[in-house]
Amino acid sequence: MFKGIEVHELSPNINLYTLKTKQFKTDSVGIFFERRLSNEEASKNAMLAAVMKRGTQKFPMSRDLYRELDNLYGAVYSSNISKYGERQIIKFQMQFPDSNYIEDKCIFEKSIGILNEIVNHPFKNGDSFSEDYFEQEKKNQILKLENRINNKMAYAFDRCIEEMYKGEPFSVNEDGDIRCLEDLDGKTLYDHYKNVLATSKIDIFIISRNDRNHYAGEILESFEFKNKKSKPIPREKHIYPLASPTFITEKMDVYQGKLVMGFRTNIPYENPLYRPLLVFNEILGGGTYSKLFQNIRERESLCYSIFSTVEKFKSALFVASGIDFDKKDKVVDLVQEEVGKMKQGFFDEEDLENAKKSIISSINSIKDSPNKIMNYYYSRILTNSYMEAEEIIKQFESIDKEMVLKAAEGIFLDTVYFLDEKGGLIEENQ
Amino acid sequence: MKKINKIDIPHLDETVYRYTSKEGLKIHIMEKKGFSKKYAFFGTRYGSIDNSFMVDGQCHEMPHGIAHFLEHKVFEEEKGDVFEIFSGTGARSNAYTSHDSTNYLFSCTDRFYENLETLIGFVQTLNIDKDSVEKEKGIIKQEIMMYEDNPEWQAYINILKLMYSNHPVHIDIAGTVESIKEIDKEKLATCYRTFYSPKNMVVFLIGDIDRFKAIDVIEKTITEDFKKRNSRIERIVHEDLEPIVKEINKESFSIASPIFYMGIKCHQNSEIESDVLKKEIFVDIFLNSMLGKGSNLYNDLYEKGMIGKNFGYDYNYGPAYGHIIIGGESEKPEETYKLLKNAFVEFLAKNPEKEDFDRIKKKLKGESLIYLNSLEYIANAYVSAYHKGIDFFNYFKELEKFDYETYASMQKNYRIEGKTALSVVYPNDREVSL
Repeated sequence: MFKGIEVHELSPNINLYTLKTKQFKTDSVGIFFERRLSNEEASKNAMLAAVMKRGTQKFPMSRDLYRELDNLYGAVYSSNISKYGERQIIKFQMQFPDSNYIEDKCIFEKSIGILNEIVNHPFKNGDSFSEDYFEQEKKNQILKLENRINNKMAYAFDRCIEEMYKGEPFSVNEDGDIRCLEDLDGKTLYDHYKNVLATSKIDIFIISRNDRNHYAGEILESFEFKNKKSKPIPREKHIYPLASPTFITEKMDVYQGKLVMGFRTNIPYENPLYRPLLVFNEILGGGTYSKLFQNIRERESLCYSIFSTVEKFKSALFVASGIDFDKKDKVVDLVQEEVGKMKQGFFDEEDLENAKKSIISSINSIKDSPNKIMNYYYSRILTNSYMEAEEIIKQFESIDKEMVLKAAEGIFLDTVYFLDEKGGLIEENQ
Repeated sequence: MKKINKIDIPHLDETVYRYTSKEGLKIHIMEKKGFSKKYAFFGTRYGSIDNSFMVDGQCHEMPHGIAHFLEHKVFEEEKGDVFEIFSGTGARSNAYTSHDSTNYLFSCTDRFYENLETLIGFVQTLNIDKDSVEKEKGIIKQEIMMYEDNPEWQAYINILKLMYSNHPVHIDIAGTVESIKEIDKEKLATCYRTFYSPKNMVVFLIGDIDRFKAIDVIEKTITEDFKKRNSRIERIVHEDLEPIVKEINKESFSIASPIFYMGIKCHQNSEIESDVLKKEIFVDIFLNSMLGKGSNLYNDLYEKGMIGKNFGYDYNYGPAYGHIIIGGESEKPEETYKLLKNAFVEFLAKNPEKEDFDRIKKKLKGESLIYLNSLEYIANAYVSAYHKGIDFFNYFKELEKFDYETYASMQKNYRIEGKTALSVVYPNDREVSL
């Protein structure tokens, strides 16, 4: 396992990870439920995260739950949904000041108690969640989905993914969908809740200034999971045959065009070339000194924001930028030109070294934040990669130009999505 | 022997070291052992609201957005782009302009002192020519257009316009596509020489850093030209004496449900630090007890669907301006506004509950400990407070001292009548009556 982190197998499906560090003034606890991302379940999981925030058997009203948190020195509680490839994770997290800095010496035990209440004893009426809470949260969830169009860049990104992965689980939005939400009620959601407790793989993280290992024994009692079995979630499809790109243009009342280009790389994260691919991405569009930023923004003044990013689980690479409407073709050509030039080796030793340093610096700084620590290690656990950070850094250091070119060999453009001014949907397959 | 002041903040377990160079440049350092990332900020008290000023007997009226434009151009160096030099050490560099300041920063895990030299070096020089100024206009135009597509930002700019008409705080920090056309090389150079001077600037460093070495590097990197900049700056403040300009503004946008911001003007009229902080603490406690998730009002509004998931509130202030902004999504923003307005008046008329006061004070104390985990947060908050003439850590000292009686008397004297405004952005298909 990872240096400094102790693992306790609480049951075949439940693991506890503890890290003792004096670096933070707070303690953090996270409980992560792993679910397979699917259209049938996505809306239910999203609703669970929302409804379970509203109250517990001990604190039936949200107001009282939040007052209790205020009294625990502003303990921050959150429950939300994250998408990791074709997995949907329901996360319950709490962060609160360490007893060292405040008068309350039992804050850890009290906070664990609240988290336990929220997860295991949500407010209910018989075998159903409160219909009032359910209806209010359903309405809000529908609003959240409708409001996806408010953030035009994020919307364009989501739409590009939906088009690029049509029919695959990865195209499912982690916030669910409106039609599925309409079919749910407090009772069906409560049934789903019981199913989630019984069949999910559960990972629990505790990051604290104090030794919390004795919790290994107590935690199953504090957290009353009645967990039986969980089916392993299959690896995502990530190899795709070469195809000519699909161009999608949608029209909306916008002042600036939003361009998202989806490339397939066919380099799975298990492949030794995955890290060189990350280096390729960093040189292409990782930061202000990247090829895209330097050439399309600084040289051509075509945009303010432009970047590229790698989707780990689906082996994709995306480029996104906000541009003038009439510059779309020009920018699409320029991006392809930059990708093409890099594939041919038009980048130098300095680009390579800078990219590696930037990635290594990000890895080094994970330990500066409890949230980053949890998310990083959780993602590593999901991908079954238990290599120490030092070893990963060494691997990055040894990457040379040849490896980067090898990783980039199979990159091809698959989908170009453009959010244009006004009108309906036009699809122009080329 | 250098005189470095050591300031301990005992209950938070933090220490700040302060040093002032001969020319008046302030250097503040927090040594945080055990963290990988190190942050360095080099900032000037010069922001989007500093458009009118007197220097050496001459009066200047600059186009809107010039401070932000200058921020873009300071990044340009003769020996190559600053981005390139930083990325050579794996550092990330950035800069931002606010209403009252411009800050340049980098973060890195390695080769900190080398990066520090780069930061201090490039901010002290401006290399521009006519062509590069013209080219930047294209990039900044795209930045402005990006915000044009952001409905929250538009609602936010509109609420400021309802509250201010003279004070430049109501104008977009980046200016407008029109105003940036007037910016030229000469104007940029004037602003640069005026505001990028030792006495008007601060360096803030945080991370696993050696303060002596850092101060040495900074002093060696300061140029003679920089030391000589010593203009006496007189900022011309455009005050807004009238309570508000107009109460309500409605617009439409391609969004799914309405977004609203309610503004409450609350001008800060004292320049004494402890008064400013007391007011901030009062507003923090007041907003939290009235609108926090533990309040009756929040729960009532939420359950009725009058506010949504992203409801929030904030207090913002600076030279000759100050306001509370409350908002988020709402199906019935105008009704929500009326309800909030009445609730404010009712709330202020009553004696505050001691229990609420104690609970919120606990919350504010604990929250600050959570924020203090992040070096980036400390750096941003420290520098932002500094430019307002506030010592960031004094907030916590004042909070400790702040008692129920002080709060109750401040609440008793606080009025919102005639100081509130509402900015709404409706979805396109709804009828908008103006």
